[in-house]
Amino acid sequence: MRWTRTRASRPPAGRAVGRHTALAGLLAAALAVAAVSSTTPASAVSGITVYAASSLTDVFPAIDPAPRYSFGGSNTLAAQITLGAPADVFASANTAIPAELYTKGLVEQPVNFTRNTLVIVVPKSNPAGIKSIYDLTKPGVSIDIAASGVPVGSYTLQILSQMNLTRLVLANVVSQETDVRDVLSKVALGQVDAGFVYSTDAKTVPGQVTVIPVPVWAQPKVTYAMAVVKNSPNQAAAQAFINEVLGKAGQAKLLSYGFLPLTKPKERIQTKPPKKKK
Amino acid sequence: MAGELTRAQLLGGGAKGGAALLLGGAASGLLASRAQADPPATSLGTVPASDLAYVRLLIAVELLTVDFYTHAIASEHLRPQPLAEAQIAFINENEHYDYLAAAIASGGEVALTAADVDFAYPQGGFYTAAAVIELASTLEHLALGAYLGAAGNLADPVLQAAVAQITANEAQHLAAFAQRSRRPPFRQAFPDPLTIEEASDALDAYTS
Repeated sequence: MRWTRTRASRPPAGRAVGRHTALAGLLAAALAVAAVSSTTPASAVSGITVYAASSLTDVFPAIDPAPRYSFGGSNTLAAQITLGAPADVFASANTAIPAELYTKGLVEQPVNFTRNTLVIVVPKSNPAGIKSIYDLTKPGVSIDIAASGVPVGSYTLQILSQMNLTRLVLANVVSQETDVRDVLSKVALGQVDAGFVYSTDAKTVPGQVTVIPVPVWAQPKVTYAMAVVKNSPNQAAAQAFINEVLGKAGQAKLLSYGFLPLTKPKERIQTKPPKKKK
Repeated sequence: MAGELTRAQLLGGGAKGGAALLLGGAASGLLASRAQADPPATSLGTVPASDLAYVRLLIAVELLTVDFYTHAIASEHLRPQPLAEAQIAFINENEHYDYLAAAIASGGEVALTAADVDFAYPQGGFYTAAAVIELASTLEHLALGAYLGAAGNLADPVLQAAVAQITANEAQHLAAFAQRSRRPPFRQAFPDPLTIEEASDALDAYTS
């Protein structure tokens, strides 16, 4: 059985994200990476395959470029793992899917590793004049969301339900995608008036979309979890990758890409004006 | 920065007891005379989704005011009387939060908590006593508008009664801090309610 290696190297982010690129245009860049790699110590995680949520497309290779990455909707990747796909690590944009795989005995105990938030994105030109989530209820607005089985799609429905906007907003949904990057892409290209994506995805297309926040009182709790796949022949290397993501450098990299720490840092409020420099 | 005071420290063994330890003179007198009616039942049963949306919004408003008073008290800028009022307001807002969180929990939902939200305030909002009191007025105005909007739109009578009680309390807070910032404590016979959209947008200004 063949397994699709999705998002091995995918625009619009356009960054080298793995070694499975099918795009000839990136070959030179890949060779350059290989040349650099040959002069540095081999990664402990070389040769493993990481199945990860699309929203991790940019940050995971930045944490460690050595693994073979397959990015896609978490539900699709989980279905592939259930059917025996050769994954060593599974990283999902929610905790429910890894927990379900764990219950089925398909992965080791999952660990949470980061958090995220959802935002609304509109094309830079904003032809529908959307300024708030409530504007998505206006007749004639075209909206793209991810399908309900994909974590971001499920989170989107949760937001609409929390705000009692489900019926009105869903009436304007013209398309449903299999992963978050497809939603982002359609909005960035101006094919729809608005879409729901993770805040980290919105950052990957600066200048192409405008971000509109989702009210804090309707934000779902978006927590990512990852686990070693039980059938992996590379258990130690798979665990090493997880440790790398959970480690100080991995967590710092996640923060630099806009992900949130697992626990909220202590607030600091200035109660005195800063001293002027003499 | 002045000593930081967490919500847990302020509450100590319970909202009233913990705060009483921090209150002196007039403040403890205010607290001692704080006899109150019992709030309406928190079990909402089956309420319309539109009511629940309002409850979620109001929970976030309460988290904002609790967070604000935590910092206001810890700033050490307030003189005894406004400090005492801020402490009582802090306790009131916690009690509103607890009521609304319990109400939403009765429907099997977990309420938003302080750990879920990062609030941000205007630059200089805690630099002086005047700035703290001005910000208190602004936030209480927001809270009053949000509650007035809810009161006029809720369908569940139990929830509506509780929101009416809370609205009155928020109006008291607003009057107290407006007066301290040298503005009339009351003006309009019919203060303006905020729509849920307006209240949500106003709240967004304080979330980072």
